[in-house]
Amino acid sequence: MSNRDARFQASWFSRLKRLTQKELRETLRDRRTIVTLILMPLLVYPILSLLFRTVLVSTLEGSLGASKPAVLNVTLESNANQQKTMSFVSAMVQQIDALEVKKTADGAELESNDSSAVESAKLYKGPQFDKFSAHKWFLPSVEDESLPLAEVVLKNDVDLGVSFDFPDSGEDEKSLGRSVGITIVRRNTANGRAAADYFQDKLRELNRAQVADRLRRGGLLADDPLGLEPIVVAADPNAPPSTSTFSLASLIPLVLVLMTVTGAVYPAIDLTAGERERGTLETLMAAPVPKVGILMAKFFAVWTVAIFTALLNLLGMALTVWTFQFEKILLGPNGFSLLVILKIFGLLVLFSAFFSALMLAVTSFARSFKEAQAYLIPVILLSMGPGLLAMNPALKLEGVLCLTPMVNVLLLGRDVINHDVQWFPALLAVLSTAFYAVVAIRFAADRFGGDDVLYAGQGTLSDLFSRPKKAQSHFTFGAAMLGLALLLPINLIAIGALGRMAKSLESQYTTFAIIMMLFTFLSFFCVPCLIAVARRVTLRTGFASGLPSGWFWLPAVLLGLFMWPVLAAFVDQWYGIMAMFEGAEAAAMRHDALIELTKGQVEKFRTLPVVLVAFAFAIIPAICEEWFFRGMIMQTLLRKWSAVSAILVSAALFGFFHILSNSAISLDRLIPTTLMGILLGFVCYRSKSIWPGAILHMLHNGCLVFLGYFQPQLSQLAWFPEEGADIPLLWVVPAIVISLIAVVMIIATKPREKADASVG
Amino acid sequence: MIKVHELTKIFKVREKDFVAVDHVSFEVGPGTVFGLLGPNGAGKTTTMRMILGLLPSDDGYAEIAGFRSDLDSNGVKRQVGFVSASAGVYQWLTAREMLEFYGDIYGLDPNETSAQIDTLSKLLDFERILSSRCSTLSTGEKQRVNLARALMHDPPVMILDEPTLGLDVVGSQVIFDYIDLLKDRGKAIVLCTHRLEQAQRICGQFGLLHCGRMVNHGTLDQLQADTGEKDLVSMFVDLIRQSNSASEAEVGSKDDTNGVAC
Repeated sequence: MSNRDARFQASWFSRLKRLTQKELRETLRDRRTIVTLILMPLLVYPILSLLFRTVLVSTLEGSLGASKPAVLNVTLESNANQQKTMSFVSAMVQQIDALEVKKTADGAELESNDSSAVESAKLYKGPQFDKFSAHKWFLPSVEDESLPLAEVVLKNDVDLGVSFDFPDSGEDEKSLGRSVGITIVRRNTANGRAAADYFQDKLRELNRAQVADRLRRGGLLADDPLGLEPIVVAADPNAPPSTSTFSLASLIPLVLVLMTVTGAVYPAIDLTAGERERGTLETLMAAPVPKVGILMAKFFAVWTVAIFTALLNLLGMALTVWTFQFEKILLGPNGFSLLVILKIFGLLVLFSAFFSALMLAVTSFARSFKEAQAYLIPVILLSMGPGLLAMNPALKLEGVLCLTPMVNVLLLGRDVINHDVQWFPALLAVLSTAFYAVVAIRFAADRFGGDDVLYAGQGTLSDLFSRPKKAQSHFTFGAAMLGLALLLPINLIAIGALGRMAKSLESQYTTFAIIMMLFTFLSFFCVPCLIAVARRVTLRTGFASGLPSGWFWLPAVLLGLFMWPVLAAFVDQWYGIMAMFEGAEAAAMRHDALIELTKGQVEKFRTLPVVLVAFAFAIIPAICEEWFFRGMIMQTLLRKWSAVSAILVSAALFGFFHILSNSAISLDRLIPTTLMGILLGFVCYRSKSIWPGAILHMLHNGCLVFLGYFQPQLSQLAWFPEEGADIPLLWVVPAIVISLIAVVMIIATKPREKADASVG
Repeated sequence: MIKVHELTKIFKVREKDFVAVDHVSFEVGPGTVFGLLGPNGAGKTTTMRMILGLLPSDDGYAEIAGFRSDLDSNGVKRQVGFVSASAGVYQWLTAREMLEFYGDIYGLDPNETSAQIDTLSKLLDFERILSSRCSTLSTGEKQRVNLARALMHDPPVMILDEPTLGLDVVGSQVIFDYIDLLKDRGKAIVLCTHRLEQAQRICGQFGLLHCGRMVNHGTLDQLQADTGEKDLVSMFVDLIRQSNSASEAEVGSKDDTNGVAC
């Protein structure tokens, strides 16, 4: 036995390796793994590419038709030059691409005196621009002259139409230095785009040649303020913006990520819930191996399968792109390179580590294969959301997005393909993804093989709604979650409704404030009370609404009165921290936006009676929010989890509900509100009552609201800081000291045993 | 070898406490088979899971070869071979691969593992299926592989929870013969089973569990003296009847059991 014991202590790495090998062997022999691992990449990409090609061709050539005209201007230097310019355009085009150019009108027609008419020399390009060696510009027929250029292009089934709009040649002097309007219309096809790009390039070359010529002749023309840029490529004001609404380059990471996820789903379910269902999990748990070791082996197995899936998918996609020549369309001018493929692969390896861990964390809760599937489907669907978000080309990998799971990897993948990687955001994205993976594994290890998962039966929906026969001291976890699940949509709808009302009630701010107060009361106070009645929960214990277990009033009052300068100073510092992430400019912009917004609100509520302000913004929200967050939620969590987890989670929920109210200031409110939630949770935990926290909350809100309300009067005082200025250090330091003293008082106050027993 | 002291487990059923195992105590020495008997839901499986450290106990403890399940569950697990009715096999692995895997988990070196596989497969008569995938095995073969799996590390203590469930008469006989052999080799064995006749034959001591409580325990002679019945089956039925009427009287004095029996 002693030898064996010694081997037990021996390198757990080699044991982990063997455990992983077993998991892999088991997974890879399973036909279902092989389907997602090999068959999918083999079939999906060719089918996708065929579909893609069909859709590309039909949408671009069919419904969209010709583009809106882009207007280009070529400056005329003299009337005589009209002809010259025209020939020069032709000559340039001809010279560079040996084009055969024909004009509809001869020189005489171009110089005609019809001032209103647009003398057009319409140039058309054959439909197969790239493939014909002998390019042809087609002549428009006479009846085309009256039609808009776009229609001519569509009617003649050509890729590109160009018309020149010469200024009135009758007034020689004035037309000098004027521009020739060149309108180009292209079909919305790859050929059309290529032809238009080509033609515009040629015009730019012409432009540069003209500038050089003029400079050589020594001087700029007086009527030409732009001078150096005689050809102005002006976009049609009505034309859609040049950036498309979604970027094809971000489609590739999304498809790869989704395929990688697909590969990992089956092993993740099979090695956790499947193992439980087959009855091998219990035997494994009865073996002398630490749970975390077994889970790590499973993680490495799932990760390996995911990596293989990623690799095969990447190869499948690269081959398909290469075969069907999609590089330019999908990836822009840079195309694929081995380095890009390697970088994308690296990203997929990282991402699959994160997602494998996440899936194991989710499936570790499941007691059966079906249950695991039911859990994973929403997770995968939810992860599609950030995936689609990342398709927006305007979205840059910066700020909070660097830390947003899934989005950061997708954006980084897109940037890698576009050869546009910024190292700092990229590093943040990589590190945060690795961090999330570690957190997910840690979480999964806690849950995996737990006796509640191993043996518990499955709760039913009726359990959630059944009314107990006797009074309960606390909410069940399910009931508290039901409350949370009800309040989230209620809040969202109410915020939407309030937003709509705010517009119609612009002048009746009093009514608006009363409605807002009522809503807070109904949602955070009445809904939890209704659930309590339904579940026979005693209000005193379920909401910790008894009197505090000690004399916590003084520290609560002190914190309520003196926390605001501390939090405000923190918010100021927070902008500094945010500025590091998203650049000083963006942070400053948000800061200003917040000040503007607050200003607007403050100005409105200065019109209200002071009593209403106190109720609507301080007293009612404080009581109702404490009732729900520190009462219902935290008291329930305290029975299930440790005090730290219960306080942190209820604080995070408190923060989260506050950011629902306004998206513009959301992120700025999240951190300070969550911190406030932690403090309130701590006070409630120590005092075993929500009331000291409610007093704290009320005074805190009250201070902020009244500072805003009486700001005009207060700012008359010499010592009061100006609106929008940082809080002076002289205020912050004593506030911190007093707050710390209050916290120490809370820690030092001993809860009375009797109260302890009745609540705990 | 096995010492169970006041082991207690309380589950929450619809917010009510349900005592699944109520201060159960017994001891099993080497070379003894202890038959833990009782109707369904008596708390046998829960007791075994607590002995193994798979479930934390709410009170009391189990001690196996000097290791306490609440203090050093890995130590306990190393001393125990565990077979349960619900134990499955890895369907994509061969019987040999599965046994090798468990040999590895229990810290055997590859030679030792290989020798154990040879010995056990001969003893339990499944040599010819060693290279077959577990998914192709019959229920009896699977259970024999499972028994071999639990014996890979040659543990001094065996915990067998309904090892013959779903097996035919011949299949069960192989298992019971083998348990007999293990007893002769000096192992301390806890056996849960509904096959009372076989239990009567091979168990040296018995514990009758009902509603989480150890109603009676001792040797067959002691039980016979206590109950006045001769065989285990009638003894068992009798005990449960008595116990039921006792708990009904007790239940009658309470107003609400919320549908939970016992």
